[in-house]
Amino acid sequence: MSGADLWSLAPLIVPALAGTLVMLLGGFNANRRLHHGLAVGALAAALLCVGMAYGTAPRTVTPLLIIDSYALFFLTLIYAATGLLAMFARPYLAVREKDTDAFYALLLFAATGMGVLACSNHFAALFLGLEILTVSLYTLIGYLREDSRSLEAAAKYLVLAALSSSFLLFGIALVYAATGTLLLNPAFRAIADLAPQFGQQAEAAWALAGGIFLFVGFAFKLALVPFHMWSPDVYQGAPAPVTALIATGSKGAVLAVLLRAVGPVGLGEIGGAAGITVLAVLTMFGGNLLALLQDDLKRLLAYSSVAHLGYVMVALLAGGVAGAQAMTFYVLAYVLTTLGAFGVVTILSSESPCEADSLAAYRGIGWRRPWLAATLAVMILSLAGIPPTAGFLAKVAVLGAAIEAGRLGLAIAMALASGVAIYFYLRVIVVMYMQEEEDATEASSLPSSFANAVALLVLVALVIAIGLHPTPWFEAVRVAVATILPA
Amino acid sequence: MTAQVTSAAVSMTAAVPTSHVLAVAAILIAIGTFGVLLRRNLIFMLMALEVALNGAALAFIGAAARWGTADGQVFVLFIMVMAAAEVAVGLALILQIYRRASTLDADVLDTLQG
Repeated sequence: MSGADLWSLAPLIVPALAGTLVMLLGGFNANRRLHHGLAVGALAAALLCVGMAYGTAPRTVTPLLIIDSYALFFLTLIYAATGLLAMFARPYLAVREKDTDAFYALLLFAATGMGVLACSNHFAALFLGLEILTVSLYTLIGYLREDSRSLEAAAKYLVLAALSSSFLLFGIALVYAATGTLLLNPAFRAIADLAPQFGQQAEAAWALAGGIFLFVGFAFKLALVPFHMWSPDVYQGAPAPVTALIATGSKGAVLAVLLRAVGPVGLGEIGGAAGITVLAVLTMFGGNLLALLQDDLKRLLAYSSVAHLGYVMVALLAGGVAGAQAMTFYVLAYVLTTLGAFGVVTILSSESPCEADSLAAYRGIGWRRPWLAATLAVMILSLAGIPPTAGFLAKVAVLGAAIEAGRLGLAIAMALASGVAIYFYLRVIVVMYMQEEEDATEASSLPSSFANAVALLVLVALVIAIGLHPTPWFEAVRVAVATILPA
Repeated sequence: MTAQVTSAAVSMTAAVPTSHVLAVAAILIAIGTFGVLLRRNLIFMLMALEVALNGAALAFIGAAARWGTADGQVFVLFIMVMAAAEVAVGLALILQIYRRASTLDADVLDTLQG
């Protein structure tokens, strides 16, 4: 490994080193502000390194990692999201007297794991990235260890994530036994070549079984119906900033590696199209229909993110360059929007040690906290796919890709599912702007922390800017996807 | 070095066909999965998870022997490290749950519902 290789790996090395540094500093320095500042600063530095790495991209560093503009696109998204999360987290943790070095160290390790996922070119890197992320998440979810809900969520996540990891690993082992390669694209190509010989060759059976185990593993991680059972409980029980991390960065990173592995080959070639189609339809309708029944905003957003992952699967099924671009654009819009929504939940949960998650707590906040409520409303409208927001254009892009690929049935299913979803999204907005019975008028309209106000403002601006003027963003997505799927 | 590995691989494949190794691995995965789904004691669930992970590791050993490469064997080391990390976090979590609930029954974890 040369010095130039190390330079191009800097976006991964910086958060890893910073995490270690925060952990070590925590041993003899209890300055919370320093730990927080280091975490945010390290993520900003990592973003700078991403910018510099564009100069040397694409570069394959050992067979494990590839730093190309596709990886750098997702690294930017992941680090920016994690950095904003670290900012939202501070008042939340401070009010619970849990603002310690461990949280920021774990957050940085989780960022490293997500970064490795986005860059991975080999099953070993995929596995390592996923486990760095998952083990950090176990601890982060159970971080409020005096709160039994947090512990319960952590235990549930641990059991199901570990089980899905063993499925994923068994799938990798079967694919490796059949094809003899652990590189992502060659392995999936080999599955596609072996699939037609099913019934004649033992290898073909191994490869197909491996493919199925791999997809079940991914489906667990992405919470596709019927592998979504963990997600509402974990979203509800985890501390709000950690829920945001699970919903945004970790989903984005897993989708990034999934698209890199499967996109160039095409799901149809591998022989998984029929199965994934069923999963996608179940996920879109299951997520949206179950969300109708929720009275808890975190659970509602959990089911909503289940449904959104279903839309992303539609883009994956559409395949080709258009499908890959639609998928990447959807992930961009989804991450920014979900982060904004959970940002508001986090800020509202930062005012007292109890979590602001039941919908009743949002009754009338449109009058008490107009700015926060307006932010949440914009994010909810974007999740519902109403113009002029990023969510609307992302849905249009996915529908367009599906129709172009001749998957008309899927496109219709997606449109119907989005129609159902509008009901519960609007319900949240209606609740927020309902007049309160006991006319309480506390006039504190701005979020308590100035940094958080700025962070939310940036997210709102981005969501609306992408919705109004999408050309530069589409261009960035096109450039990123071109490196894995040359047109 | 390569020749040694290859000859060892050939002798192992001659003794045990890869499909048998994979079948045993699949059985371990199944035992682990059913253990997690059917057991109600948190410690036993953690043990079942370890069985499932070992099934995956065994499959890697069989696959590595088939191709005579070290890649699969390196993967087994990764799996062992990851399993250790998972158990460390898992046991700490279970201890904390036991302190609060005075039981290891997974059915006490039912406060999160919608």
